[in-house]
Amino acid sequence: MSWDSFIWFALPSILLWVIASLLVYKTNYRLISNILFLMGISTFLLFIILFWNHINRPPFRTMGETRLWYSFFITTIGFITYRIWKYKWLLSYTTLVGSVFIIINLLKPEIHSTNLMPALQSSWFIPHVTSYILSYSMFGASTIAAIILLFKLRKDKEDKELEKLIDNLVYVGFGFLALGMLMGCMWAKAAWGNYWSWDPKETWAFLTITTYLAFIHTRIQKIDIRISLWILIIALILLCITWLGVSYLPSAQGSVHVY
Amino acid sequence: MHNKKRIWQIPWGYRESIAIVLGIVLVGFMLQATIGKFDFYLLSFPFNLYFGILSLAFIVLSVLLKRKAFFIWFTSLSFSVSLIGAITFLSIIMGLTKQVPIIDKANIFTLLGFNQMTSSWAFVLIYFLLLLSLGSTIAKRKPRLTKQYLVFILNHIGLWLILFFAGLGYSDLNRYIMYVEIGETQWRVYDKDSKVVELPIAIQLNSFTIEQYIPKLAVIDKKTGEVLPKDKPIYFQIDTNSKEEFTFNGYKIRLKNYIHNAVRSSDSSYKEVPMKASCPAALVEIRNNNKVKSHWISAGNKMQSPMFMDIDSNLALVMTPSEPKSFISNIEVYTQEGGYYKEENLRVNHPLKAGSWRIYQYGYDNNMGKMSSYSSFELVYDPWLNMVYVGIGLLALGSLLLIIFGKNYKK
Repeated sequence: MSWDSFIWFALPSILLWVIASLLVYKTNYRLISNILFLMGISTFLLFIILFWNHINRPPFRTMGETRLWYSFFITTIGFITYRIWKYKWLLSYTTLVGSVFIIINLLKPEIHSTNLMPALQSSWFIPHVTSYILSYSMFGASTIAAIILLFKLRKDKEDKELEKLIDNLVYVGFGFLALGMLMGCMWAKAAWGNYWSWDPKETWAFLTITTYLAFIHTRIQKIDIRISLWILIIALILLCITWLGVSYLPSAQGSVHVY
Repeated sequence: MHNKKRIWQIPWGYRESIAIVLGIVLVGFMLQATIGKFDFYLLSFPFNLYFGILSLAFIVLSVLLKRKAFFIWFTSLSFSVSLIGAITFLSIIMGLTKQVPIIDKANIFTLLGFNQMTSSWAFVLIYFLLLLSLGSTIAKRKPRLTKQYLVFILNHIGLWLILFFAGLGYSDLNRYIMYVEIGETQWRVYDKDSKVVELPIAIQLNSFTIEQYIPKLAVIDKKTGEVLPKDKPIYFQIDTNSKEEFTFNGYKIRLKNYIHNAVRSSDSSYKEVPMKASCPAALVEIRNNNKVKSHWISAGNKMQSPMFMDIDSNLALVMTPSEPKSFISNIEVYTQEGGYYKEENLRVNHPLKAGSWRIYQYGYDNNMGKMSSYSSFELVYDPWLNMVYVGIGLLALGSLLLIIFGKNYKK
């Protein structure tokens, strides 16, 4: 199965995922939703297997092939996380991000034109990035919930369920963030001989994770939850600087994460 | 009657913790300004061992005296959060100031160690306090067979091992760059003062090969040499499996033949010769209003001159220089203790482990590219690395459990 047939697997997968993530909101259709989502993943996986067989080497070499794996892992791990935690929006989110990578691949298939430099050719590349993408989604959602809760508290309305949701989202997101970071360490060790070198992006990733640590530890204490919620909002701002802003900082010129 | 607790009255909480942590950061800044940065070589073996034993003794003491007000505070959440806050604060400074190995112009920021944060006194003091507080907190907690304890212990011991061995092991870590000519054996390197050092490890380089990506085609302006169109240059990927044509200003450009390892065989033709001086070459055909012409083009290298194709009086078709896909050394390694290791495929991301040494493919002669007569390696000696890996493994397991369990609410 060559790359030309990708569209015949990609579009059905997206369709199945979209229908599944809509049906999940209807109580009577949960099972169908699960089946459809899994069918979408299977269709996509089938293409990867046939394509792998066709090119006769593992499809990890080009940017386009890397995106195949993002779509596959984000939807698969997203689905598993949804099954554990039952957050319905998670299916919509993974459908969205998974589809974005597919659509980029359909419109601009960098199957041979993007040459990965040797340092990027690593088996840690895909899990490292996938893990981060999933943690961002959890932190994004928890911050939205935190803002809602802050407004409710202003009107002196407590919401213990929302508190639990925020805590759980942060724990799950923190797990993905820490895993992504540790995989980054393993990769850096193999590529540059250092598992940690205080590269500007690493410094920012570190201070982001310590801010989430501060949130988690203040939540174990009986202190005003509003302080913790504000820490969470600051943490997301720091996360965004780490993700998007570091390249623009004068202190970060020469960072290995800026290409 | 409600009595508001005054500061420094036990039990200590946030006010005391923040005051103490701030005080320590200030002491760090003062030390930095008066005696300069923290010298990590003070902690080289065996001093790091003594320091490690002292830290462990402190942790044992904290368990024995865990009911004393000081240790209750030292392992409290308020103190932990304050320390986390301090290390975050120092990291923000580090993230906003350019970190430099050598300070050339002194100002107030360099005086306080902002440009070399990780070896500044403030950072080092907070780091070791964190290590001690974390260790005492782990030791204090009673082991239980619960999910909560399992998640706690994996994450906290994992982190403690990483901080302990990465921090105390740092001064035992050595890294060198070694250059080895093909066919030769080398054990000498330059240290950071450009002095020759003989290492207890030798590398024999049997061969060195570079694999290159298939290059691209581009149209350039013959006068300026710029790739066109100026605002958005187009690069056309050569692909022998594809029938796709490259169209530019009405010219249709088609690939007729491609040789990855080509050597010029006459004024205007190439043939396949698998030797180091070879370079990619392509036979292309350009069609425009029934006019058809074919020509070989090549980006050339140090040994072969480039070949381009005139499209008209202003435009020419060229091939881009090849980018390296991978560079691979075939090496054998001998250590002074009689160890022998062999790796035929040493390349980036695939280092060789030789005892406490790890050998990384580092570089080659960029000017000569495929014809480089040497390969260079980075040698890293890190005797504590395995313990850091144990920490990383525990922390990874703990993170996985966080994803599965979330926050465990007591029912």
